Amino acid sequence: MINPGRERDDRGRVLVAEDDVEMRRLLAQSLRKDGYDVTECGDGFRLLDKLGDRLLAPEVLKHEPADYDLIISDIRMPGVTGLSVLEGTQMFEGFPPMILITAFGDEETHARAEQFGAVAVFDKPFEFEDLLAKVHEVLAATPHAKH
Amino acid sequence: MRLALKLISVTVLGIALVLAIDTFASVRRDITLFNADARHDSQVLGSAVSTMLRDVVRGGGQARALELLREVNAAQPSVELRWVWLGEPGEDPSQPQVSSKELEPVLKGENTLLTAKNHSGQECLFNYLPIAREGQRLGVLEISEPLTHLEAEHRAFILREALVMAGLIAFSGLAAVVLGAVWVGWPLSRLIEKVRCVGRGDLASPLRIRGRHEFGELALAINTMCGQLAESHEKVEREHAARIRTLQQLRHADRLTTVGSLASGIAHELGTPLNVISARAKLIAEGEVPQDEIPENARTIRAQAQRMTTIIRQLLDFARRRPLTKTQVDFREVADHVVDLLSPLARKRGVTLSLDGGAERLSTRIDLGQMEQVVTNLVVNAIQASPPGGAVVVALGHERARPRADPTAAATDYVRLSVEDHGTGIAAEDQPRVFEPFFTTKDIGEGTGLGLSIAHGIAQEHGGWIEFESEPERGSRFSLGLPMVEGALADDPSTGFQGNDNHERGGVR
Repeated sequence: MINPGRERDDRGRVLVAEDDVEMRRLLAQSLRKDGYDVTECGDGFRLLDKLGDRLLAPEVLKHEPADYDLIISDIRMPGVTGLSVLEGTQMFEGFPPMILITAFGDEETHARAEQFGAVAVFDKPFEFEDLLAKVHEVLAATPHAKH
Repeated sequence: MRLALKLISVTVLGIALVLAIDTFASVRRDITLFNADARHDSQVLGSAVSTMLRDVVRGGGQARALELLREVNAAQPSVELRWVWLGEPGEDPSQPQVSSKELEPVLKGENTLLTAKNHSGQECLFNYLPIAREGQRLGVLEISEPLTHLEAEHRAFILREALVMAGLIAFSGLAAVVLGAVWVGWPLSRLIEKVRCVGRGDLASPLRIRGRHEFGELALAINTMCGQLAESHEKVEREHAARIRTLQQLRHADRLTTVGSLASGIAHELGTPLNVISARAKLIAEGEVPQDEIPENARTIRAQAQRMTTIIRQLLDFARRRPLTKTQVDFREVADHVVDLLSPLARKRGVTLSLDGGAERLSTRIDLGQMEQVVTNLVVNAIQASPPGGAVVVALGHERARPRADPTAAATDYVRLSVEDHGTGIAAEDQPRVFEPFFTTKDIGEGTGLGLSIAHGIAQEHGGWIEFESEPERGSRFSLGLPMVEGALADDPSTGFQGNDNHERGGVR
């Protein structure tokens, strides 16, 4: 499996899942401007698609290098929610860390996101600088640059 | 007071009757005793005098006997003793005062005692004792004692008794008036006043009647009763107040829940476009967008702002529901119109939209614009839920049902419109939230989650309802029920479908 991100030794590979087209474009644009390799998808099912075989056999593939270094996902999306993806993946090794974006920023959502290991939760509307700073902080701490 | 008078009058009359009977009995007894006494005295006197007279007649003749009688008469002023002749009356004027018929026993030699009237007509006790026979006639001693003084005594006695009775009655009357007023009249009037107070709802002022008599006990009992009444009254009021408080709290909580869900709905709907606008504007301001991309960025900002405007307008519509302007229409026309209007949308999405139902008239009184909005919402939801190639069936009919808001009310006729799709259906956990404002399962941009909530409200305002059945992955059927009205449609041209521009408001929410 050839991933275009692998060929560029840039600042990191980010998967953006957001169903609002404008929001997704903006996120992708901002991240690319900062030098990240961005992959976009518009709903929960496509997000699961991108995670690929790892979802089917997480234990087997846990030592395989991941395709992405970070996932930024909206919580409410058609199909599968970002929170469900978080809950389904973070208990296994080998999945990239997740930053969640939500408009229903209630305490319960934050608590669940934290419980299942989200790196950060951003309530809409948020400052893009804060999100970019967080992305930078997370990717600086992960060993993606070795690839 | 009147009661006291009656009681005392009856008592006094009873006493007077007893006294009268006693007086009568006393007089009778007195008369009997006096008569017996007088007879005895007369017999003793008669026996003594007659013995003497017989001796005198045997010894000295009648003249001597008459002499003796005069002496005895002088000594006994209360009685009169006479010598009388019985049998041959002859010349002698000494006739007995009692008729000779009653004196027959005397002629036979017996002493005779009897009561009769004397010559002056007075009631007297007569005692006849035979003394000496002289030829055909019998000399008899007549002792008479008038009984008139006895009658006088009886009159005095009766008078005295009458006076006692009068005094008793006077005293009792006075007692009835004075004591009846004090002991009965006053407490009774207080009791009556108290009862009227209680009737007016005044339980506080206590009844002050002291004493160990029945009125005192009654007053105590009434005061206790009033206390208990006041207490239970207070308890009921407290419970009522508590119930109202609880209801208000529940309503408040309900409002808070609605406000909460509205707030998070607004946050969700406005958060994303705000984020886009703010970030795009910032990029432009900081010169980070190439010159040729600025117009496109500006267009995006404008589109997002319009999206927010639409949401806010819908919110305002939701908050300020317009008053209903009802007209009588055939509901079939509403369904026809909406189906016509939405056919292009259905075609565009590859969905077959059809209207199913007979030709009978379904008269309803509705706000045409708002009801079109409701039907449009239901049909658009069905189209959006259907996969390409799917079918949405709008069915019309009527049924007899009880109003959903009040299941105890009588069943009436309802127009029923149902919209059925074979689309994604609604997940079981989402079903209770279907009518919540801002609840939506649609993709971004397809709905704000206000449409069904508004439609539900409009149906309820029309005295109807919206209900649904849904099975995930098999489809849903939403039904609208509206009260059916009898009679022909009004001729008012404004009620007709043509020329009505309300359908512009029937947008999809």
